[in-house]
Formats: sequence, C-alpha cells, structure tokens
Amino acid sequence: MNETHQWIRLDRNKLSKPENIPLNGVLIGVQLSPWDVPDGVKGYHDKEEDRFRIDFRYSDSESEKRVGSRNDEINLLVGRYSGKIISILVETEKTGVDAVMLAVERLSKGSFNKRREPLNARRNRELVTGVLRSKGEKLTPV
Amino acid sequence: MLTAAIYSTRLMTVIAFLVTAVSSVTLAVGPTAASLASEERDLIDKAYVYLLPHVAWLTPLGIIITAAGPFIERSLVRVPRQRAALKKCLDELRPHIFIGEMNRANTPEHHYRLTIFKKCLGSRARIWVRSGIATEKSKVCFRFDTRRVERCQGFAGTCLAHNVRMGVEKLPCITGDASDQEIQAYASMAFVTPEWAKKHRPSGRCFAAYPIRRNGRPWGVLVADSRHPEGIQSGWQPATTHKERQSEMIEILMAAVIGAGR
Repeated sequence: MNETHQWIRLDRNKLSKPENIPLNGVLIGVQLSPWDVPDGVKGYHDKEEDRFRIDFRYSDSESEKRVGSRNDEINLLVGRYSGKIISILVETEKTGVDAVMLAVERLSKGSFNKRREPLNARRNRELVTGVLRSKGEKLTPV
Repeated sequence: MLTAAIYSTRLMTVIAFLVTAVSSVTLAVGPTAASLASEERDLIDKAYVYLLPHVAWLTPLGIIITAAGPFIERSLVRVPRQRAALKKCLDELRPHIFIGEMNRANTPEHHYRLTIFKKCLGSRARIWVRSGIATEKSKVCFRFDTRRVERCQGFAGTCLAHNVRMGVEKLPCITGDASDQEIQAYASMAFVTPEWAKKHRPSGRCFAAYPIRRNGRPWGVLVADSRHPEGIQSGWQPATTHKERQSEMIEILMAAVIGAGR
C-alpha cells in the first residue's frame, strides 16, 4: 500500500469564517480560534496502529487523548483540553475512499464524547468534516 | 529595579537555606565538651555557642523562608513583570482592534479598552491586566462553567467556556432612564443578568473576546470593549489577508507574552 506523507495545505482564511449563531437568545458572532483551525491534512497507513490515519496540523502542539476503544471502526485523537480533532484512525479493512467516507459519516452524526461537546470542539468537528468531504480523494492512497 | 528585586529574593532564599543548614548541623554535630572547655575554639565551635540559643526559632524560620522563596519571587517579581509586559502589549494592540474616535487626542482611553481576564480558582475570570489607567483597578470578575454554559457570566466568562472568538455590537445604551426592555436586551447580549446591568450600568456597547491558551490549556480571555456601538473594527472577523494575519497574531502574541513572563 502506498503512503501519502505529504501535507495538503489548507487555507485557514477560507476555513474559519465568522458566523452569527443564537446564544442566550440573541445572535452572537462566533469564529473558531486560530488554534483550532488546521492548516494541513494528510492521510497514510499507520503501521503501529495498523489503521488508515488522517492527521490534521495545527499551529500549537497540544497533547492528545484517544476517544473510542481499539475495537471501534473509528478512533479519534483529540486535543486534551480543547477537544479539537488531531487525528482520525480508521480500521484497515476500510481504506481509501471508504475510510474517508466512513469518517465523514461518523463525524456528521455528532459528538464522540458522552460529555457535553464544547462549542469550539463542535465547530472544529464540522470544519474537519468539511475538509474530509472536499479533500477526501487527495487523502486516499492510490 | 525588577532585576534587583529578583536577585535580592534569591539571595534571601539562599541565606535562609544556609542558616537552616548551619543551625541544623550545629545542633546535630556540635563540639565536644573538651573543645568547649578549651580556650582556643575554632569557627564551628564559636558558631555553635552563638547559634545554640537561637536554633529553636532559626531553623523553622529558615525552612519557611526557603520554601516560600519561589512563591515570594513569583508574586513580587514575575507576576508584576508579566503584567507590565502585557500592558505594553495591550497598548500596542489597541489601534489594531478599535476604530472610529479612538485615535482622536481627546478620547479617554477607557472608552476603548482591552482587558485580559485570567482563569482563577473557583471558576472565576478575574481582571489580570487592563489597558489605560482610569479603570485598571476594577475588581469585576465573571463566573464561567464549561459544563453548564448558561450559568456563565459576562462576555469573558462565556468566551472562556465556549473557547471560541466572540463578537457583538450595537448594544443598547444603559443610562439612568433606560427602560426595562433595553436593560433586558443588554443583559442578553452581554451575558449578564438584568439586575447586574441595572446595578452596574455598564458603558460598553460593543464587545469582542479572544480566548488565550497556554499549551492548549485555557489560560484566560482578551476582551475588547468600546463605548461606541461599532467601535471595534472587524478585527475579530478580518476582511483582508493582512488583517487576518494581524488578527491571528492577537492570540499568539498573548500566549507568547504570558509564556515568557512565567
């Protein structure tokens, strides 16, 4: 299996647009913090995990924690404090387009966490889903 | 001045440590009865004779000062130094965040102010440093709750809980004769209770908030507020690439200054 270790650059200006959302009964302008907007993405086969792995690059180096058990089809590595998605691990049977589509489908369903999802984590999840939809084919090893 | 303070604090800690060590050793080892009886005493024997009556209070005092040294240094030297650096930083940032009358010579600084709220114990966001002079001693603090965001208070508390940039403008003007409807509208937009708004009569009519993190961990929040209903330029939602870079710099700059000051 080929590996794509090249980062695909992402335009942070386009990704993180301010939006007005209802908070406390009024419309408040909200925008993701620059720490939560990725500027790169890459997909490759992680030999250690034996899973197809999609990494997102951020401007900080926050420590990560795993969400989901190793038996699950999809595991996430999220920021320990912010909850932003740093990596997505998909089981090896679902490689290529299937892996990306599975990740998109699972992320679109909602939070992986049982606890309440903070606003920044929710918007980051939506952003990451959008990136996977638009760049999915480039992430797939040929 | 600050350098002198930092070195004097460290010197005090070292002296306290030495006094503790010498008094402990003196008490433990001590001279022999023969050497005490003789006329020619060496330095240790002299120290023993001198220190023995004071060991009971010198040793605990030395231990306390040695242990408290780093805390004293932090509160007397490092925190004021960090605050001074952040204040300079805020003054530099003001023209990049506010628009309108801010740059006029007779505009009071506190009409367009930047405030850094720090996350403190008890789930409170307290003022850490504020631009200008008029309101820098304000003791206002806001509660935040990451699990129940509806319990958060103020723009600072809400931004800290949501961990995103937030902005709102054109808040109603709360004067002495403001109607209940205006107070209610203000309270909803500023995330305060109507009672709080009625009591404090806040003058900010336009807010923007930027979360500040250190190594991914929420540290505090930078709040810009202006008395002008549209006084904050689209700094939090920049229009051009150049402004975008400038805007991104806000959080990164804050984190760097906070990191360097520790």
